[in-house]
Amino acid sequence: MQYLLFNGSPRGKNGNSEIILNNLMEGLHESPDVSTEVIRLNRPSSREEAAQKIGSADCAILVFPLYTDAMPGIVMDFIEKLAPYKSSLVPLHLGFVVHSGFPEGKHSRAVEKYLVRLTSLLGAKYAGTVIAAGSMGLSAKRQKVIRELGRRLPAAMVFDPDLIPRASQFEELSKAMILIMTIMCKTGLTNSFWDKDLKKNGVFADRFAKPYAK
Amino acid sequence: MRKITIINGCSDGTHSVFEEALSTEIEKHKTTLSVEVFKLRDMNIGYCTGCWSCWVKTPGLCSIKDDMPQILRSVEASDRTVFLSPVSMDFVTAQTKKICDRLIPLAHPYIEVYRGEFHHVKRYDSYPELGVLLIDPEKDVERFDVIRNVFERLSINLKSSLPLSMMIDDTESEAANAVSSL
Repeated sequence: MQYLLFNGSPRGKNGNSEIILNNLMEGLHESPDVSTEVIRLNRPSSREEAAQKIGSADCAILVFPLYTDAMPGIVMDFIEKLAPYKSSLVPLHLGFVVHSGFPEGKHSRAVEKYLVRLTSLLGAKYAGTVIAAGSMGLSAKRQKVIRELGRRLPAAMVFDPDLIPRASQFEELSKAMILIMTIMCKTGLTNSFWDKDLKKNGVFADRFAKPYAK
Repeated sequence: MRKITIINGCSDGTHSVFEEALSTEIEKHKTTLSVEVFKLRDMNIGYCTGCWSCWVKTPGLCSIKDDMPQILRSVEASDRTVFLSPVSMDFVTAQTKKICDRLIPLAHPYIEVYRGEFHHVKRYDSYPELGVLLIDPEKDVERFDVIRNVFERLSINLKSSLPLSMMIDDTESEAANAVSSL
């Protein structure tokens, strides 16, 4: 069985999409007769290549980071290159992994609805969407869940629906968490991740610069 | 005068008759509306590379040297920014989505709880209202709902709102409707 794995991150190898993809592959390769190929979509030529190859795979998985509430522009460019294959990718199983810096799964639900439509537009079978929210801290435990999702994928070529929720931390903030996080944000405790780099780059004082104001 | 920024994400000349009719209609409203239209296919704008320079290296400033700063200044100065796009693979065009991504220099990397969810802190004092005009001669409501939902989310992320969202076909008469909705 031929698996195509698309890394839809503009950062290519240097990002969380690659980590997710590697875990998926590790799981997939525990099954015999699985061959995998990775295509990184961060170059225009690779998006052409990916569109040309998708029809020859048994299963394709598209991994991407959430960019302004949907897929990154480069991923939409790739999707547009699939226009000649509308209704024609009939035997293909198509699945997705969407990861976001935001820790709640909720942010990725809007694009998930689109991915269901896209799969049906292409005539493919929907293998499911895994939402891996809070990808800036992808714990060993959650990476293990992703490996397991890969391991179980070949059975029916769909992501195990019972396992999908475990790839995310939580769907939305509980009332108690809203209260706690509101306080934490106000005290600046949640800023330390960014402050470290802002200070290292010597621009901490300018962090609220408004260069595009009139 | 009310300032409107239109991000025209038509990837090619398929809808050029409509685009011209739109320009004519905008001209008719020039005493009441100040409209700036950015025809993306005639501009040099790259994809966001996710480098985070605008967040941690040169705060607020994008590192890509292309035509995007004109759009960022216009969006920031506008009362309403409207995305105009034909349906493409059941979504907006890649040209249009590219601009959404490139808006992140307008946001701050810090997060806060806003409407019960994590969202980015404001960098600017105010942001424009957003709008989406989807060119869809088939007027597929379900498809539109999926797209509108994404732009609603985007408007929350920009601490703004989405008061305008409609499907239009690409006829000249519809251009008048589109402009009066601005």
